[in-house]
Amino acid sequence: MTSAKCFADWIREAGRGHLAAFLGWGTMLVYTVLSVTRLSFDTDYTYFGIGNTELPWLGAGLGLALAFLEFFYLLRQKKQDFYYSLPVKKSTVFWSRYVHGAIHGILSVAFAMGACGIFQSAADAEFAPFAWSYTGKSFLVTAGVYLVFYHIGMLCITVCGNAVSSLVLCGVFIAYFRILIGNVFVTFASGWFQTYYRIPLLEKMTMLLSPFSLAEALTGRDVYEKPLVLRFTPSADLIAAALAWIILLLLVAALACRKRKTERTGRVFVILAAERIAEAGISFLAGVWAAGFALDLSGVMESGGIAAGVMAVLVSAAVAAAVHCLLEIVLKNPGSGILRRKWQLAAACAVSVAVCIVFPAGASSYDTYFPGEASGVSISIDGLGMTYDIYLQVQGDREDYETDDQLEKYMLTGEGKSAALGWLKEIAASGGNAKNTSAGGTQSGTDAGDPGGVFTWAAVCYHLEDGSEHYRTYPISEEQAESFAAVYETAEYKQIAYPGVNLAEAGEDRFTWDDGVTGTAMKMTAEEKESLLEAYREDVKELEMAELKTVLPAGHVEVRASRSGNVTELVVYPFFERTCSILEETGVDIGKTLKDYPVESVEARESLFSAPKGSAGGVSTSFYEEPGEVAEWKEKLVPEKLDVQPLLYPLDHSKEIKAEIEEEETSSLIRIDCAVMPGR
Amino acid sequence: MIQIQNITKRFDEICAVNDVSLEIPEGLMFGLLGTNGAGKTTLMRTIAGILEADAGDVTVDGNPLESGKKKIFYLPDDPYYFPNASVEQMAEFYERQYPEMDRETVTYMAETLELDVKRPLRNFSKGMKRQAFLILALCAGTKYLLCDEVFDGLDPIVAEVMKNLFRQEMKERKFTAVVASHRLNDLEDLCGNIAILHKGGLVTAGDMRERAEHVRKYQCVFREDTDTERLRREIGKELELVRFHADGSFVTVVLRDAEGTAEEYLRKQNAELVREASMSLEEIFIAEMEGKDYDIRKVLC
Repeated sequence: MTSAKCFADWIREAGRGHLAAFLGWGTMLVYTVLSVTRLSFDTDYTYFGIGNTELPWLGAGLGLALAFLEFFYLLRQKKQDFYYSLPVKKSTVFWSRYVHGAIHGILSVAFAMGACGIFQSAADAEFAPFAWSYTGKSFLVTAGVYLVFYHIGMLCITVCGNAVSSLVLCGVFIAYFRILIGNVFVTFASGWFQTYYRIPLLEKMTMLLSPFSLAEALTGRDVYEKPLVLRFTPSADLIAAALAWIILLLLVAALACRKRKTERTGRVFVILAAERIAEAGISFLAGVWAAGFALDLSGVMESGGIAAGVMAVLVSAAVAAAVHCLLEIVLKNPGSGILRRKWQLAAACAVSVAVCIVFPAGASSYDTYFPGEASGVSISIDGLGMTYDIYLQVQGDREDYETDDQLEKYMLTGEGKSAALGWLKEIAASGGNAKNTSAGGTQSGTDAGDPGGVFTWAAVCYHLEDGSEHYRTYPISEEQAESFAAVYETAEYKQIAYPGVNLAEAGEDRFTWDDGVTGTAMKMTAEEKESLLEAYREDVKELEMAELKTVLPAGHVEVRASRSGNVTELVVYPFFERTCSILEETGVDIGKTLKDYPVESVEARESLFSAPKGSAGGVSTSFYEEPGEVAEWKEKLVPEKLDVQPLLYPLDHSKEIKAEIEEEETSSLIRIDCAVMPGR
Repeated sequence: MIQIQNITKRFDEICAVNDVSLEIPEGLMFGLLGTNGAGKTTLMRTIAGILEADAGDVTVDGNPLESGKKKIFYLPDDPYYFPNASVEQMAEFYERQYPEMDRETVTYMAETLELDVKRPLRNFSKGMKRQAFLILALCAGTKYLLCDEVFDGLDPIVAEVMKNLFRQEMKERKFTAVVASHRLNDLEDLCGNIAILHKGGLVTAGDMRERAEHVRKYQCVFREDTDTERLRREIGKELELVRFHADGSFVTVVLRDAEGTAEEYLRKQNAELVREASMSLEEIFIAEMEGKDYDIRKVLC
């Protein structure tokens, strides 16, 4: 029998029982039916391919399941003896099963994607132009995910001797780098590095080295909007990583197939080299993970110092050694001692300790990093150019979304960059220690361990010429915050902070004045609108950051674009003389504040840490309706809409205050969220 | 001929087969005898190509094992069959692996033994499965058939039926069967050539009956006042005494290389009656194992 015919016969033989075929085609048939059903209801936010969050799970699950079905014979001594006693090469049995599983997986995915693509292109006109590209790309990424996990399953079964160890190894394989990077490196970095914000290299490594993260990225995990989903193509590095995973796993599995010891079937590992690698890898990971966990739990990292370092070293070495011995008990041969691999034990402990030492040892150079030259600098200062609610989230809940948005928005590449680098040079040199110890903003001071020293925090991203990005977060003293004026007052920064200065050809746009209580449509000619914008540009140009500490905005001009419908807000301060003058000419009462409105009552809700008797939940609500009380409140209340500089002009938000104002024209009541002016 | 040259196979610290060299001649039934853990199955699995030897070579008709595997059919003690597969389906499968497979004979032999070829094998009793697989093995048409403990646990009737299958097939065509067992009884009426394995090593191998030609058993009757202990010493001095057993005046002696002289010597020792008796395979083994530090009784049960 020729080897080709023999191989073909064995591919057919691999289909005995039809389990793999049933699972592959059955799963994809169910997926097709469900997708088509969902698409028949909604085609705007339902995706059968890229953009579908179930797709990585489907590809991964199918890959692992088919790998286990195809190669399960390697875990059954009797069946293996049966196959190997036949006049056929072991490799022929192995590779025929490989081809059989790959064919059933890939073809069933192709069928499902094709069927869904045909259905959606018939039902959704918007989808039709993308039918080929989207369906093709969806097939390729799903097949890629399937193959990555199929190969992981195949390799784990090939090196393991029983089903339990194969499954455990699969789990370790899939989770290893996500744990190592996400739970160890990031924990160490955030704990040891005072200026840590994020490290793109670690994020990239997680995405490329963690198979499931890679699967999610390949299938467009972060893309939601339909136009983007339909046009989504995985980046070249993701495709390269997937190919590298597949090829590398295939080569290692081929090697493992040749080195596999039949007689070790039933044991944890059938290949001693794999046993050693897995044992050392798991011991190392357990060591550093436990060290990270212990440091995080004890909180000693925040104070830094030798104690934390010693603790990390001891915990990592002890846990690595303990896990090694534990694995030895599971893996060792009867009669052999658990310390038979002393050098391996020493190496696992040494690497764990080294990783624990590397982070504190490199902390100083990390914290004092300053590139000198950069193609761009992104800056986000907590509390600057954000509302009080967001400022609260950024500081209190350590919410990064707004900071990330600001870092994307405040990307300085011109004069702003030079000013920012000048401002950051000294801050970076201090290595994450605030210089000035004067007390500052409303929520500041709690994160640096020195309540008086930190006024706020600045997140920075240095964009280098080579394309790399280096993120840092620095504690900022009040003095340093004041010196940020050098950056704030550059035209480049103001263009971003005051997007109204970029408006042009707004003659047809709708202008509305909002004083924080009510909005009023402004009846202006196109020329008047252009004049207003020009005046605004001039006022912003002359704006000094120090002025923002003196007064709150008088209101906003809301510009709604006639073409796109986009809304741009022009924050108007009372010292914007030119702008205010034009606004007054058009009938806007710039001086009108909350106290000029007929406030009917004020409701003040206060959260009390020690609840007085008779009150429930530690929340106390007071209502003020007497004219005298209301008049008193009116003097000190400011609509929250005007609280746009919580860092520079902090208001008192200790109580949730709502003012009820009577709308004279409609005799209805408006409830306005308010804050209290400081010192009143 | 299967030639096994210096085969060694270790399972971690345990040496299952230790430097075994053996030649399995063509056209006969070859027995592989040894206690549990002696290395029989390991040696069989190595010859079948399931295990790779750590050292040594196996050649089949002068060719490497890989190319000679198509000439070998391995029948383990508990054979594997596909879920729900019947004898007919297994025969069909084997036909694709062994082109010489004779499916008609499978059906004929199965019917002779009242085995339903269409019935799933999982519904067969242990004895029926063994018979079915022996039929499949015999009909595969391979030159060599390796059977590992195929008679173990079978009742005497089924065992005899299976042995008859062997004998009939041996008459039909010339093939070599290697039968491993831990009981001499399973092999003595089937195999001429037997190799004994012990603790992974080869104790002895060859045609035991041929070797027994130089060993004679004599049954004697002495006078009642004969000192049997003195008699043992006297015989031991003059002849190569393998075994001496006295039951009153009735004495049985097994002697090596004493043809012609033994009877006369025993009469000189005042034996009133001397008669040469035939030896069982068991006695041959005892004679063969004498002095080889191997307790043959372990395989005589």
